[in-house]
Amino acid sequence: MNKKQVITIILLFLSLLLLGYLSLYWGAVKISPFQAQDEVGRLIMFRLRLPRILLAIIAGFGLSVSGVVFQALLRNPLADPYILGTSSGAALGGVLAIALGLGASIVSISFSAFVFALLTLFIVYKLAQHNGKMPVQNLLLAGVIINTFLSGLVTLIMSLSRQELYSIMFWIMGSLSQADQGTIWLGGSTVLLLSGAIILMSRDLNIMTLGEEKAQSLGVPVELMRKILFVTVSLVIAILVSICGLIGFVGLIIPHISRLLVGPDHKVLLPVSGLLGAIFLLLCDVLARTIAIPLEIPIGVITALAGAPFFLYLLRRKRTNLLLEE
Amino acid sequence: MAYLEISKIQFAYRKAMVLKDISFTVHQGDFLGIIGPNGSGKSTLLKILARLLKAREGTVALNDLDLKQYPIRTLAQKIALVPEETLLNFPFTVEELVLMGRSPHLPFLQPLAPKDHAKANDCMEKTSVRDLAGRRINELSSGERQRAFIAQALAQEPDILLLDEPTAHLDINHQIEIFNVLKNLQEQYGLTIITITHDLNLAALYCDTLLLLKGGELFSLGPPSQVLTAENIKNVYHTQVTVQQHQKIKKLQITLIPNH
Repeated sequence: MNKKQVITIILLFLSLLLLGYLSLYWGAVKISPFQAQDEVGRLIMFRLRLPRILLAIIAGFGLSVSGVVFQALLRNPLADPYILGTSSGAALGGVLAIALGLGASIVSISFSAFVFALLTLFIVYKLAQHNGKMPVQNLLLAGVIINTFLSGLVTLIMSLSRQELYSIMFWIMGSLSQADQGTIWLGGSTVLLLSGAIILMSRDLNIMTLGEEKAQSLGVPVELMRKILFVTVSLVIAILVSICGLIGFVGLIIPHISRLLVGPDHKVLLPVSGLLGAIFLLLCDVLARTIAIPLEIPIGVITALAGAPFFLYLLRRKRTNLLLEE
Repeated sequence: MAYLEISKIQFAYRKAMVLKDISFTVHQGDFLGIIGPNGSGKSTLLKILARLLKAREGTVALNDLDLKQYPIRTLAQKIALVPEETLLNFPFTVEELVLMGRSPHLPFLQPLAPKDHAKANDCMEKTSVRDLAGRRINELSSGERQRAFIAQALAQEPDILLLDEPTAHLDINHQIEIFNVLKNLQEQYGLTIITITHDLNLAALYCDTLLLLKGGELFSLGPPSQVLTAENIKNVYHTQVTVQQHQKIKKLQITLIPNH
């Protein structure tokens, strides 16, 4: 890690703290940081806003780290769990668990989401493979189609089980409104532990971006590492989706911007992406809470509105060397 | 003495036989060129030597021990591979790339030590990419990039270096440059080099031994003077050539003869 990289990490961390602090004061009810708070003010800040802020940080961090890992494993800067349908798979698992009455606990929902996320990942992987290779266009196409199909299923199941529109919106467009002690502990510990484990594997991740043959000849057990990492990331995704629904594009744009900032070395890229993702989602949530007061906009709407144009920009700018290679 | 003994290798993709009953021995310090037309099984053979593919029949033994017996990291300390194509979606710097070559020597979680950096610098020196250490690989010319990947392979401190067409898509000046680097590694440091090449003249100039494949079979094996005969080339490539010894450099050179 060089000086510039260390400074970037420290600056991002400080910005996150500052932003987290400021977001306590932003919202439908205006609270001034320069006045002593009454009982109601404190309640709003610490009971309502603080949990959401924490959840935004956790989800933003986890989604970005997952995006980085997907991109390294598939050796493609356009891959991300949302675009490739893994997140929708998790959502389907979660919704099914609820509809079948497998218990309303977040743990059983997460488990079902995990199983379906893995299953979806496997299907997309197999669909995209052709003669042992995985052309980028196959991967994106398979991902998009599966994604649409699964989102359809999610909506269908929700409609049939007579859920309110709001609850369908929660799964499809994401929301941080489920933030409470339980979800924060579950999400927080998962993201913290698994991101930590992934960062420990960053040397192998770097090598795996060079391709399967090169990685293997450098002594990396590629098949094993790939399985470990895919399972790890799917677990992160499953739990985050169970807690906040589908929040797209974070895992795509944040790693990309981070790579421009600090380069592709995963030892630095992973923490930088995580922090930047946390900042991004925190900002998105502030927007979601404040642009249409007293209404609240689903956070996935904000990330999609910011993310989709960015994705198109990447696709155009990189067309020559991304879609044609491999 | 490090050496590689290949005996009775057979390989098939689905039902198509790609390699049939190949046996040969590579001695330490050899510079072996694998030549043959497209589809003759060159890359498959190289991948079997790198243990990326498993032969259906036959064995590859390194120092009298079957390749299968080596733990993956131990093997990476003995045999390094420079594949033909490398993807540049992840723009590492040359230095980062070469340091990855130290990976087989670093147990899990052990950080890079000063001696790893010294080794990487040394390897960059040997392939003349030291000045490019801070540059990103997607900004390099193909020749520079190829030398960076050779430096990475060297950082593994291997006994044997395998290369799949290291000079594909390169201008002649870069072709010569790459082969000069390889020759130097062989002569100065006793590295065993096994490379696939399409260029018969380069093969004649640099390789001590040539292995000519035809349709998955070993057609000829020996010094260039024995393998690169007009008759062999006519037989394998269906092309008319004359083979002459260059007066000054005393190496064989092949001239194509158009047949119209």
